[in-house]
Amino acid sequence: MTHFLWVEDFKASETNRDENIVSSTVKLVFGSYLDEKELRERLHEEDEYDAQEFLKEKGILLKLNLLEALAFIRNPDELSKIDFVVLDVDMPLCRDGQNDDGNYLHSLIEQYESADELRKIAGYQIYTELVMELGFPKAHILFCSNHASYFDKLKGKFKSANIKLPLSSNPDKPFLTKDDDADIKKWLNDAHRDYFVLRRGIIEGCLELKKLKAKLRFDKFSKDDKKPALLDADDYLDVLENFLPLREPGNKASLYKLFIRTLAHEWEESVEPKKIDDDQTTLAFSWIMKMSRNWMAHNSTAIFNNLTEQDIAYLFICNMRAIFDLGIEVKGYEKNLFLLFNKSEESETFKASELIVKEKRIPLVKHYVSYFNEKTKRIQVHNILHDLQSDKAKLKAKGDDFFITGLYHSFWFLTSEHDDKKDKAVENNRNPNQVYISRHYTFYCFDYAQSEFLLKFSSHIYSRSFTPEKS
Amino acid sequence: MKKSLVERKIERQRIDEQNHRNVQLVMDRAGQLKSKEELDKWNFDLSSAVDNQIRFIFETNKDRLEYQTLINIEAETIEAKLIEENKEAADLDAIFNLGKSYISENNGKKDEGLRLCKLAAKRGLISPLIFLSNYYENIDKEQSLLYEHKAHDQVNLNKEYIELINNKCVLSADDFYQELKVLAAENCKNALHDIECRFIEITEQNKEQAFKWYTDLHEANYTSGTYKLAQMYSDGYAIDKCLSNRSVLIQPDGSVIETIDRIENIEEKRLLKNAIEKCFHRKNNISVFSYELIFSLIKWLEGKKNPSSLDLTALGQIYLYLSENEINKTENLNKSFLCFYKAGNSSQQFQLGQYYSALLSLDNSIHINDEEKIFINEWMESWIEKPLHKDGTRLDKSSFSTKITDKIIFFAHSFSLEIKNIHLEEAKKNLEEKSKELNNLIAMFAHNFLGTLQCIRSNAEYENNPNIHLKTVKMMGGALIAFSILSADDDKLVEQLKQDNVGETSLQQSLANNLALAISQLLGKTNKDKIINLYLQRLSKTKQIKIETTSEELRENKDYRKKWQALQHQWEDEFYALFSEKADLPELQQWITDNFFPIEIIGLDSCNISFKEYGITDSIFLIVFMEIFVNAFKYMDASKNEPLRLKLCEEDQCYKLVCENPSSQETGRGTHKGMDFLKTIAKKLKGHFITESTKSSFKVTFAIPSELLK
Repeated sequence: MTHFLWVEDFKASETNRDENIVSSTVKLVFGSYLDEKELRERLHEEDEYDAQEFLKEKGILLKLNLLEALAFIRNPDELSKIDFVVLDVDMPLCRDGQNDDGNYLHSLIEQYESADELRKIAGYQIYTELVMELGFPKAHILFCSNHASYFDKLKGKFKSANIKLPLSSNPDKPFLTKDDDADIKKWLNDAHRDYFVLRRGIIEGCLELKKLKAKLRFDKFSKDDKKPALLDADDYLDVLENFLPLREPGNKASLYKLFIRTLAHEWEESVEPKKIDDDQTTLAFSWIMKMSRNWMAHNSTAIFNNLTEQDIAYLFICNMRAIFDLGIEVKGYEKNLFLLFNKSEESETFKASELIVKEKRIPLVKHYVSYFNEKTKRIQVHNILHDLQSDKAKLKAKGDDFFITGLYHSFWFLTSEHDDKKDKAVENNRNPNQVYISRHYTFYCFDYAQSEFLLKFSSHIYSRSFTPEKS
Repeated sequence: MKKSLVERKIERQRIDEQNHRNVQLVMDRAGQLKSKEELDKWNFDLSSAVDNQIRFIFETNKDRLEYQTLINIEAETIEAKLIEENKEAADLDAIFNLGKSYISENNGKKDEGLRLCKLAAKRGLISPLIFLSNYYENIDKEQSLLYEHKAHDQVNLNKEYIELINNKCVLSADDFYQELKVLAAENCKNALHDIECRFIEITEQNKEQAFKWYTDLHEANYTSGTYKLAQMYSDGYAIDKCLSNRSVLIQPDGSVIETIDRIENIEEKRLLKNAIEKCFHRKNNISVFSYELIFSLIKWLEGKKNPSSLDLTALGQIYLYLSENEINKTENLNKSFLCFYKAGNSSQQFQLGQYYSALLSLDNSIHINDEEKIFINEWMESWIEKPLHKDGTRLDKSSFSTKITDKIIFFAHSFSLEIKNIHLEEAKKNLEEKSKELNNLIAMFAHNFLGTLQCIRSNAEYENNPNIHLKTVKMMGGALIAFSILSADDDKLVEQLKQDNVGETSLQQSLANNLALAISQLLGKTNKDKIINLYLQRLSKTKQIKIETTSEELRENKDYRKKWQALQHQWEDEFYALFSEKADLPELQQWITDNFFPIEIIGLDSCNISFKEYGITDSIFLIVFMEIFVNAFKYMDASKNEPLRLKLCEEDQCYKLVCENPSSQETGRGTHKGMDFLKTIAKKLKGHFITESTKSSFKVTFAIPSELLK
């Protein structure tokens, strides 16, 4: 979920505001992104502070005046919480009685010659500070005002300062009004591109996991019980948290590959996949990470050449679920990363997947057959995959997607128990020169609905794992 | 008695001619010299001729060969001989001329030449002093000035001159004049010839005689003479033939009068112009010799009781030149401007003065007031519109300095542009003010209508009471008319207010209605933050929140916020039930006191002001009261437990409506649009609107002429 800073005053200085000024403004700007019913219920008092609370839950940090906005952007810890900014043009400088401890306003009023002049184009001040001083990407900032009253003044200000006009989703309109709903929607859609959802999910994940260091259990994967594997969780999470830049890079694929290398790096020789506390999923997750690390280390890095945001999210979740004991509930960051698989859990695709998962109709047999027919010496899917990647000719022939999909399949096959029986040979009565050698490989389908996390996780990755194109 | 100067001059001329002939002989011989022996011999002959002749050797300087040979003579030999024999000034002339030739020949003997010139100058000879002053002019200004001053002193210290002045009473006027002229010719030589200030001393009772002398001096190119002659024309002792012009005036009764119009004194103008320009002939500085004349000119022109346009223009020109020469630059520039301006503004409509003052007004250092600017602009415009005289020229170029005239022509247009720009700026400013006024009007209009529309909407949503609908619609209609009159016609507004003095509504009722309207507007859920201080006060009083709770806590704490929202609903419902249909002032006052703060209303019950319901007066009060009340409630400091005071009184033929409330805020009162608009309304009514803010209170006074309400 992308995070926003939204600076909006809801026409605070006017006495005759519309009765529904707060809810209607929120709907006009972020309506495409919020649940309408929930919005109506939460904002029925038309209270800005109710809106602040409600929107915060949705990753939209609402600031009601210039002072609030300046205090936010000038604090690096706060600024790191957001990816995109929506700015009103004119706004009150502060509320009556609001403390300006940093003495932010005084010098600005002097600079703009009067408080009224500053008020009219306060958005300009926030914009220039963000872009010029804090290096915030200008494509991540949208001017969106209730009215176009000060657009000309704003334009003049940009011109006199010799600064290029801001960008919006409409090349002809650097500043949008709340009525430009199509343009706003387009801009918001851009802001919700997978890269930004992934980046924010990882940052939130690292922040959340830093608070859960008591649940760290990486040492248990050590091959030698006497030498527990060491992991500096703070450092490890810091690196991952700051890995993806705020500006979407042009060469995402190579960055993603590096990210996975960093993520999987700890799964080295001294650790091995294990079924800790008799948990099958832990085994699966640790195997998936071990395989990733091995492939990366054994010169099969081409497998990771074309990773998508989904793949990164998948491996990140698997990894963290392996090294932390995160329980049965879905973590906040996981919810956000799941959005990369299904935009909404209300969607038909998701519901269909969830039903299959609940009814244990996973097409394990069909997929196993194709793996088995690869005729490597081994039986289990993750081992077959390993053998295939070791054979450079096959690795090349199969292509990277085969192996990445294989990592998804590994989750299913490693969790579903199986019984392997090799039957005796049987004569072919019709052809005396032939015998049948039959093999019985039975799956005992795992209960993927046993916890909230497992149900959501497996339902979300189901399509990616078994859609016809991918299989 | 000593030989007279005239006699001495004749004698000197005779000697000079004799010497010249002798020198010519030596030169002829020098031209024939072939060997070193012969040259030595010639040198010998020459040294014997030096005593009286050498001065002329240099002066003749006709033959290149002779000259070249001659300058090889050792200067020291000549100098030593001259000093030893203690020769007269004539010999100093020889030294000076030799030095001068060394310098001008540029043959490596420049230093030697300078030494000789300085030697001559040291002995008090004026010519080398002037020469050295000129020589140093571009090399060392200070030196140059020093020599110039020395020369000037030398002229004034001239014994013969002092003697002549002392003997003036025993000499005939003509002798005095002649002696003075000879002395001038003697002492001034070429360098000082043009500015010979001692001629200013000449005063002759016989004006005919004086005119003759001054004409003589003027023709001999003495600037002082030119000045004195101009003075004579100016004072009327000399008559300019071109002075008058005949014209015919037809009287209203049809009779014809022949008049003589003074058009312009051409001769006087020409002479003055000439004198002034000579005084300032140097490019970079003014000769010390010119000063005396310049200050005589200033003294004379400034001393005139009724200076003519020409006098003023001449004076303006002198001040301008002084300013251009960096002498009291700004002061003289301003003096110059005033002179030209007076000349231009005189009844004679002196064109040059007009143009030149216009030209000077372009200079930023001129202090020019608006009245002057307007005059100048009119002149410039009339000149540009009617650019040609009968003779086809814009200006009579012969009338004054061509330098000035050219400048005027060049700058006239730029001045005109400048003035046009000023006008444009003024027009722009006016437009901006009008536009601001209009914006305020539109903002207020929108503000007012949105408020009343909100009433209709609330009524429709809750009770749908037709009486409230009707009342609000009537209110809107009245306001609509008021706004249309406010935006168009001030006289009509005043007229209609005067006429609207009978009706069913009293000012007290209007106040009650508008007070109720303002409160009902502020009690809406979207306005609750605007009167957060009132909510905070009430919630704390009813112990729903802690007494020390701040407004920020009320906003941020979810539980507190819920209580705040509940109180808003309670107040809104209660107020609507009590006052939506009719606002009774005592009842309203009580409700405000019970829920908000105490309120005092003074002087409204005793006034006898009535008008039509929803008429122009009622509507104007709707706008005024609403703005005042909404502001007072927004900024009311309820924690002080002091009342909001509303007072009406009649003072200075005005009804004054005063609203004063305790307030802890001095600044941050929003955009001031509403307040500006009330100022505009007050202005249109020929009343006034004043706001006064202190640390603890805020007071507004809206004054309206009593005649409009009676």
